[in-house]
Amino acid sequence: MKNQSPFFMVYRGIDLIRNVVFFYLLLFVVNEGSSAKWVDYGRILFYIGVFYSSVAIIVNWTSTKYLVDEQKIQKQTGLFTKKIQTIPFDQVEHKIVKRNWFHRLTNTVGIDYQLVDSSEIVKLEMISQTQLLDKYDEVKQDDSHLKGYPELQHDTNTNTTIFKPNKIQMIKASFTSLSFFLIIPFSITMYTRIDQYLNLEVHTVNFINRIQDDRGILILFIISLIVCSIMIGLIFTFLKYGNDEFLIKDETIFVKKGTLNTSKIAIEKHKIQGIMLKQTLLKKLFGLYELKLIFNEDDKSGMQSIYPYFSRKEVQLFVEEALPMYSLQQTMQRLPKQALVVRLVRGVVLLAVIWLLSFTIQKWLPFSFYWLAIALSLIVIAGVISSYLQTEFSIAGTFLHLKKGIFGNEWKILRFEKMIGLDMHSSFLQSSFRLGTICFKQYTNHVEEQYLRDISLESISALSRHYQYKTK
Amino acid sequence: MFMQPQKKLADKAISYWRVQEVLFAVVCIIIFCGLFLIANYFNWFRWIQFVFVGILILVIFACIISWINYPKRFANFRFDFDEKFFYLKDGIWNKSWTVIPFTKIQAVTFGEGLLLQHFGAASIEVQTIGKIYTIPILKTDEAKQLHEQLVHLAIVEEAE
Repeated sequence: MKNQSPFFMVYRGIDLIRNVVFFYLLLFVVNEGSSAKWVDYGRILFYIGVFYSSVAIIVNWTSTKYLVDEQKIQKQTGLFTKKIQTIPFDQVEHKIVKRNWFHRLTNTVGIDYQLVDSSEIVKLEMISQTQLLDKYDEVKQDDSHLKGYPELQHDTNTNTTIFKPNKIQMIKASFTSLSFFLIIPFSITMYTRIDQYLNLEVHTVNFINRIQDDRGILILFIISLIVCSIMIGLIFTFLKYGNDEFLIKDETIFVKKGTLNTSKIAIEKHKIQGIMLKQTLLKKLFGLYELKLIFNEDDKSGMQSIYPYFSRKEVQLFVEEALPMYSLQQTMQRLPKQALVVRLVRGVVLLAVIWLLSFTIQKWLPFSFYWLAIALSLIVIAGVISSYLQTEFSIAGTFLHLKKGIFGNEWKILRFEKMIGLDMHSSFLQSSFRLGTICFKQYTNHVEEQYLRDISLESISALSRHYQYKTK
Repeated sequence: MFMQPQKKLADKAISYWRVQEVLFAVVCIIIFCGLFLIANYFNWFRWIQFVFVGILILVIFACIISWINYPKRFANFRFDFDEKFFYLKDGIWNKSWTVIPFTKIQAVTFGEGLLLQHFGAASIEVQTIGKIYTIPILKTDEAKQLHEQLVHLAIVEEAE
């Protein structure tokens, strides 16, 4: 291991001088002849501070050592509390080379090695070996290809498939997105705008009076209101999703979104770590799915929604066409019965808290608290049972199927070999029923944790064994 | 049923944890007694003093609980590794098992605090994306050896 360049001490010394010069002027020049107490104490503090800092600079330099070879960077710090940090080169994501005026003067460099999630930076402040610079580049060279952004175009290539959302789906979509409720804020803003110029209040009162008198007008008014809101919902949905287009070409999926502001996304298939089919309660009623891709690419990684209103058939077709390894035909396994018991226990604890709370705030409630408590109890119990019934999982070769949700539903299909680790827990309550939680970790632009709670310990060990087998 | 990691912490782990605990408790007592006296001197609200005393009692209670539980934690803490994975098992009531592929290990840190040095021991930190796993206390030479082994395996796995 080597020390950093000795010039580092000089640099820090200059820094120190720059920092204390103000105090020096204050204590020794401005108040030169002063015999005030604070000046005396200040001078003592000044000496102590300067002495401590200078010793710290020297100790820091002597105790900080580094080693860089073909494979790793190692940095040792601390005099009493020693710390040796080792980082394999492959885990270094960015290398930042710094050369300020002092670096140039002394022919040294400072290098920061930064990890993927920028959680940790190893700093070499000032090193004289400039040949060190290349080592990282040598290692990193082969995967530093930044591909040009491919242009989305309609080739009549045989490998190309084009998907376009169909119109009936769009009409359903406009209902599920609840966009017809847009009429409420829309009409309120219109009303207040017009009200500034014309006195609408008189007209409104007249109108309401006439409606009350005449049933026919009332019905007509309501129908026109409904038609209007549906129209607005349709227009909104078509504007947002009507022009979406998906193009599958060889190993890349292209997505074009939006009508007014279009955006294009290209996703390389091998970077996809998993897919997710999501249903909200309303979408469930209409049989619609939102398809999301989980992937990791340099600038736009994470979860990318492909299209929120696929029907089951369409999503199947899309997945078969675009990602044939991901099969949607899969029989899945429910959680063991004990899971329902554990979840009910948790639900009951939650309910007890709710009942207690509503009992204590009963005085201030305008209505009887029993109704509130009963309603909440029903929701909680329904949620628990529905979450138990909806939670399913299975292993299919290199893929893990994971389905869960309370009222909505999420179906994830994840690749084992793209996961970055596995955590398994078992709380006291769970372990008394021989259950546990398994957590699969993925890295997109942050760590994504996929939990499967209340699964039997046997299944956990089977899953973890399978994971180890598949990542080997 | 689960993979049962075999390697244990250094035998001194329990006394190390307990010394750490006592030091922590002493610092807490000094701080909160100081705060209590300050509150008394400057005639702060009465309830603030109660809060200080309450926190102090809670801290000491927690210390006693963990004092009792240290042997159990020592018995439950295991780690191990093979060519591909690093395993860790921890916890008393809420147990956890961890499997980390060596390809995903970002950094390995060898640490030696003053108290650890007094026990002739050191700690190892294994850093993955988003989380750091710590082996709190190992004999110094064992820790050094482990550090080298882990780094070596991490590098070899990377290359493949």
